[in-house]
Amino acid sequence: MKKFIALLLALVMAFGLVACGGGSTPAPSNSPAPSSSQPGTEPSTQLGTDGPALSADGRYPAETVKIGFVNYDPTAEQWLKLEEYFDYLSKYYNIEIMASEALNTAEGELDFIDACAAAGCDAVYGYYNVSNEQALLKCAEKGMYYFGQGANPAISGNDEMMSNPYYLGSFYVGNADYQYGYGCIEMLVEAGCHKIVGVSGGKNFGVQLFIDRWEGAMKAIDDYKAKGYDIELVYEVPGFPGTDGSFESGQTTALSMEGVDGIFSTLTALMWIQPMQEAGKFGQIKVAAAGETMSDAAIGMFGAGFYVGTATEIIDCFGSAIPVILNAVTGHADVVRPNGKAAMVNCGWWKVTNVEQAGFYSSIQGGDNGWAITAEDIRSLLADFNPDVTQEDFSALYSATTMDEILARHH
Amino acid sequence: MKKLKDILKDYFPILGLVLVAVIFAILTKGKLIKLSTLQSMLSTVMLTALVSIGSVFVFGSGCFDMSMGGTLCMSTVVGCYAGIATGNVVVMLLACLAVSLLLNILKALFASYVEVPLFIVTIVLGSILSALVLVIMGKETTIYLSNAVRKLPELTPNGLTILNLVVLVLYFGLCVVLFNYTRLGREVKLLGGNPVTFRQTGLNPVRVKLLAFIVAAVGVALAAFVLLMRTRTAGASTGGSMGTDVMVALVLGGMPLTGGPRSRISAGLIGAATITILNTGLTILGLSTAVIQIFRAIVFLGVVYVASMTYRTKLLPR
Repeated sequence: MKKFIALLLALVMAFGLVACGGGSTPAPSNSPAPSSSQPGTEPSTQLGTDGPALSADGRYPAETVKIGFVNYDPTAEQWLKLEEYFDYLSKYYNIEIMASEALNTAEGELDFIDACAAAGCDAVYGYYNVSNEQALLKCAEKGMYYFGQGANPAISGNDEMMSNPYYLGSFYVGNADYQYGYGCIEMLVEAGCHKIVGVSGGKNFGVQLFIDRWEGAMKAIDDYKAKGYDIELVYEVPGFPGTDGSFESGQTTALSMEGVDGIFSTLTALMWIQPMQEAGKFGQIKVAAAGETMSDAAIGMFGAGFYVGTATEIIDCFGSAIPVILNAVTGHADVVRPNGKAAMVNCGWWKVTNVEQAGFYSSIQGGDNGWAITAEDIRSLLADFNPDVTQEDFSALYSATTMDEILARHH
Repeated sequence: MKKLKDILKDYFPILGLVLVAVIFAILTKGKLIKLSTLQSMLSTVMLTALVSIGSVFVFGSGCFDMSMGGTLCMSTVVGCYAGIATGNVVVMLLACLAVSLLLNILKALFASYVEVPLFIVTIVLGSILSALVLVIMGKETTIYLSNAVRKLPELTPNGLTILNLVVLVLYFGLCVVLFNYTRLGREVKLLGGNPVTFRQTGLNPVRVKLLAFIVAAVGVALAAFVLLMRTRTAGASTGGSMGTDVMVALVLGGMPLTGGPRSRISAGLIGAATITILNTGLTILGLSTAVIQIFRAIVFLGVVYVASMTYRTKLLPR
């Protein structure tokens, strides 16, 4: 009996879905927004001299904009900081972030996008991507915008995808990863290091950002050698901590080598603290890391003489998704998609070389000084508040991230 | 005449599925049962269901296979390479089938001739398969069907739904018939119920295990093929959680993982549907990941506890 009920349920599901499945894919359009919650469809008088319509609690826009967030590691320092930034922005803007669990498969990513559509999301932020253009195509199929993957050739390097009306582009830091790697070696040289251990992260697995960081570092070493500076890469530690043990054994080997005085890491280097202490080399070996997030731990390590420099990504740049998406869902997709194509928001990065700088940059990443790009800054990028805004204004704001530029903007 | 309590126990997995569906339909204010959501959920159910349904034969015969994720991954990756190299979906399907058959026959031989518990062998095999996939893929982290020498057909959402349904219904029907109306099904249950008795009756356990793993291999191959048609990618992490998902699905579907006469094909389908509804419903609710994990754990524990009341606790020596 149970077999027949199960079979019956399967058949009912089968016929129901086949019979009713047609015509559910929304037709893409260049504008306006595909969402049902777009104030852009409201009568234009609402956006008159009194400004755009707001929600009952005074946030913009009137209807909540739900954004799915494809995450790789919900415990990562960078995501936790970004979540903090989103929380800050949500006090001013009527946004709701729906973050995924750890996703590392294409099927998991597409399932999550499906769930976002079911939950009524207006857009998906591809902070992480496994399925390449399939993620964008799935969003388009479901009538949701897609933001992110500025360095993914299958998306931002694909003209067909850039022309997809549901793609909103991404933030982009040029060849920043290469520069991070190059900059880290510069910082080690300035600290007087000669024998360098390199931590290559996902380079050997073909992960582009690690390849770029590594290549930048190797180029810097070659350049310094050409100038007559005595520097060499003496050992490479591949992979990531906590995976198959090879990283940890690589650490042990590196720390047992004679004469090593510098470590260049393509990822955070905080996992070297304890092994260095155990090897009695804490403070003797100088460290420079690419992609470090400014945290209390990182500041402490500058003060302790562990770090001599970090190439740091700016959390606020990841948050550039918010004004881009808000413009799109409020009927101003043309602002962020000039000439009918997705565009990139150029962003800066920080080269941190001492504890004072580390302290300052940390203070504007949710610390005492708030954020580098504030809610008020973002307001100037929203067409409903600033009808003259252009895509270039986005890049102008998000690339003005030096200490002086931030201070000038905040005062 | 069965007592009401016994009837409830028998139908608990289906009742659990209906209950979970109704609760989440209400909590999500109907978003869960929108047609587009149901279509999406079908794609998700498909993978776990196809592998789980076939696994009933394997677990039913008392073999504890922990390498289903690795088998699916290898099958998908090789199938993807075959699709890229030939631009032919039939070759792609055959490649998926060949790999899963080869691996499952290997597992059946281990289960029959090696005096080491199969779950240990398959844990090791799973690790070896993951490593092999990394070796095969070299510096690639993901491979894409879009790089095929000839453009492979792309299915529309409705086309994909039809493919999913046809594959699922055909495979489910085949397994129901094999498991309930043929000698193979009866032997699988007998072998899982008591292998000592099975041998003493003069039956051949090697043949039964071999056939059980072959039926399961077809499910894995179909899952790999459908997965490729949907995601058009494969990677070392593909199907990574499948081993756990299948076991959870079977338990939620009301089947003891020790196998035996209480094994049922419907367990794979019901369990897979329950998990998918639970996961999708929780995601739609927009809860934080931590809350989702806690909630899911509580539901699993509750369902497993109730389902366990149907297990036989007094078994003959095995």
